[in-house]
Amino acid sequence: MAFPRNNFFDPATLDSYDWVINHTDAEGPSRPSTLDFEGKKEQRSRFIQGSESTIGFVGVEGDGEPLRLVLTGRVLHRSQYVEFWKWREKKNSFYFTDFDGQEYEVTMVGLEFTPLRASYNPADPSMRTHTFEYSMELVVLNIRAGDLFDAGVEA
Amino acid sequence: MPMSNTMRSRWRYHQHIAQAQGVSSSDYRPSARVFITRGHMRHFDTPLPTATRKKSSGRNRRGLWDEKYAWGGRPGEFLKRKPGQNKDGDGVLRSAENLGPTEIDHISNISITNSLGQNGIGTASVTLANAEWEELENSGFFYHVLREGFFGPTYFGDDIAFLFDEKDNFIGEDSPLELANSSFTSDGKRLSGLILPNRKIEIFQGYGDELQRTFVGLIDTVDIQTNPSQIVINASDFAKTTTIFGANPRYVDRYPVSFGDKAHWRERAERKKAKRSEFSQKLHIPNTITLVKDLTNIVGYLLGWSGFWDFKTIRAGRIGESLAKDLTGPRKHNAVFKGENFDKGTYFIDGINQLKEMLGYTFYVTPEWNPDRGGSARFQDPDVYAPIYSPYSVGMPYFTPHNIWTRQQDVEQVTEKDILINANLTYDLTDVRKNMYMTNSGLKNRKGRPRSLGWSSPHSLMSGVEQLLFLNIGEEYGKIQLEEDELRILVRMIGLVSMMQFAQGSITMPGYPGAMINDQIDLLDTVLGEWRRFFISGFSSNMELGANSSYSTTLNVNQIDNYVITRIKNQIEEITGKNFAANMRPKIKKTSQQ
Repeated sequence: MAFPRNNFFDPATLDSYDWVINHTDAEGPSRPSTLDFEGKKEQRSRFIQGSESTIGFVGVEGDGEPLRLVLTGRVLHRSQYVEFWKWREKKNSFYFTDFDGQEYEVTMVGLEFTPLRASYNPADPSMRTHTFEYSMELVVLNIRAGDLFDAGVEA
Repeated sequence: MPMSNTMRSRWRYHQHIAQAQGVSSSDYRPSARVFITRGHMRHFDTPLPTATRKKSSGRNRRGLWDEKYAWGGRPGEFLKRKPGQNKDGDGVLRSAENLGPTEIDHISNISITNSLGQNGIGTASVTLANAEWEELENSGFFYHVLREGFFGPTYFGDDIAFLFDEKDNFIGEDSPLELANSSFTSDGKRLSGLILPNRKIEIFQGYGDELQRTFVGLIDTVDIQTNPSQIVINASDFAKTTTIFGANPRYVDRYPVSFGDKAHWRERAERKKAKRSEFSQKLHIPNTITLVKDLTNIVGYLLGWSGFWDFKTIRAGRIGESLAKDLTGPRKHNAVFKGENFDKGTYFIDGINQLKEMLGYTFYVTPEWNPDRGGSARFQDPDVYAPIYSPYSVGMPYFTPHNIWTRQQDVEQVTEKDILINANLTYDLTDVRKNMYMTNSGLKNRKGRPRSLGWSSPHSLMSGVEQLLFLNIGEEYGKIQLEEDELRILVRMIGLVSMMQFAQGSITMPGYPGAMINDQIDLLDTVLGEWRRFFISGFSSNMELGANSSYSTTLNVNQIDNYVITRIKNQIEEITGKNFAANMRPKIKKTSQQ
């Protein structure tokens, strides 16, 4: 049985793309803390006739930042390189399902490639002497299925 | 400005965080909602109230803002059409659902400023992201497309013919502003032509689901920016109608209307009645004279003509009445305010400003009244005369509501230790005078020689520095003659203003939706252990929404010295022989029952 592949699906055109090679590392989904304190401690002093006394913190929390996925890996096939750029240029959101079955509606906000010299790339005859490392950033618009969906997390 | 108990507790106990992510019932993070309404400004089209036409017609006083004019056409025509129909049959939605407030999303920043300067006009600035994820569906799959410029007033989407020929002439079916565009909010409201100048804008701010209206006014400018796509809306409150909108055609080139003293004309009527026969008793008052009881009545008319439905004027009482008489000039029997005494100016605000200076009153617009209609104008004396009354323990600043003399329930009490972010005060004696002398042509001693009245600051305050002030009231105020009592009050009021310059500063705290000028705040000086009362002469609030939320309010304050105020109050009451507070309230005429 083949190892499950990451998948892109475009609901607007019903196009589907199975990644040739999955990503190797991932960050996220993550939602950093937005709790902040109003002012700085040294600024929150009060001056009346030369006196000074420190006043306590006043905590303020912001809205949750959108969930983000950052995927990094290596591309050995020219077709995957071209496909990634196609999906990067999509004007509409699309679905991303990873090998674990976590399904998100995402938009790709970042895609960076680094060409790497290779002495011999047996995967694709058309690019024998180089491969790519990539970093892909996805912003989640909706959680469609998976653990976060079960947990009731809102994107 | 009052706040709800819920809002107060969320602010007071600084619960500015979401206690449980995603659970709205316990989400107290700073929040705001902004509504924009298409509509049409209304001014009084009532004939001027004059002596013969004393009462303005009630049916025309619908309010400052009228949504029924939103889609053009004649008044009343709109209501006869069925929803979806219109005169041209062009399919443009004109149903009632398109009227009323439309909420604008994606707000990133709201800042509001108001102060007793700037003609009493408060300003607001709202920044929102000009983009929307529009939801589409294909074969049961839902997805989103980013529509940049979605909130722009001329946004037309992808499916509208918005064409130009090679000579750059528009060849579409309709003008851009009339396009039935494809941008609808989630509740079906049209956004086309919505964010444009002179639309009504309302801002609600608060914490979590507890919101309070903090601003209502009209959009001044709309700044549409790209990269990132955002719209900056600059708005002014409804006091703007007294300036830009308030160019009064009645004032052009001539003074068709003069204001006359009602009490005087009544006396004159009585005199003539005694002289004339039964058939000629009716007093002839020219149509160009509007009789008023008080100077504040003039402000009422000016506000009415500029379009205000809700205005509250607190009668000047004794002081105002006597000043009104003196405005009439040396010929007291002709009790009409002459142009040289009362320059109506080009705009309504000119007259209001002049009366404001005469009476020492404040003029500003507050959003708290009548949420259906708009802001209400306030023309009243500054609340610096409120008696000092601090029933609360040390370390508890609290806010007082608008009130003169009489004490109402406190609006807010907090401990300074945990809620204030910054309090910065500057003590400056430059504008304070140790002694002040006033003269007036009518002020003479027993031998008939001119003399002056004096006022002195507390000795300890000036530390022996001699700073004097001499004022000739006769020259300053158009050679009016004041009674000695009035001059004595005036000299102390000027002294009070001088004292208010003594300590000025700013107090910053977490966003306080109830902040309003003319309120007061008490602050404990922790070093001296003294309460100091401050008058709020201006405020500004800034709210950042989104991931890095913050909401703070800065008050510009002037210290009111307890000792001086109490002394002035006592002296005024001593002079007038009455409770001064009673004179400051509107007088209610009692009719005798038989």
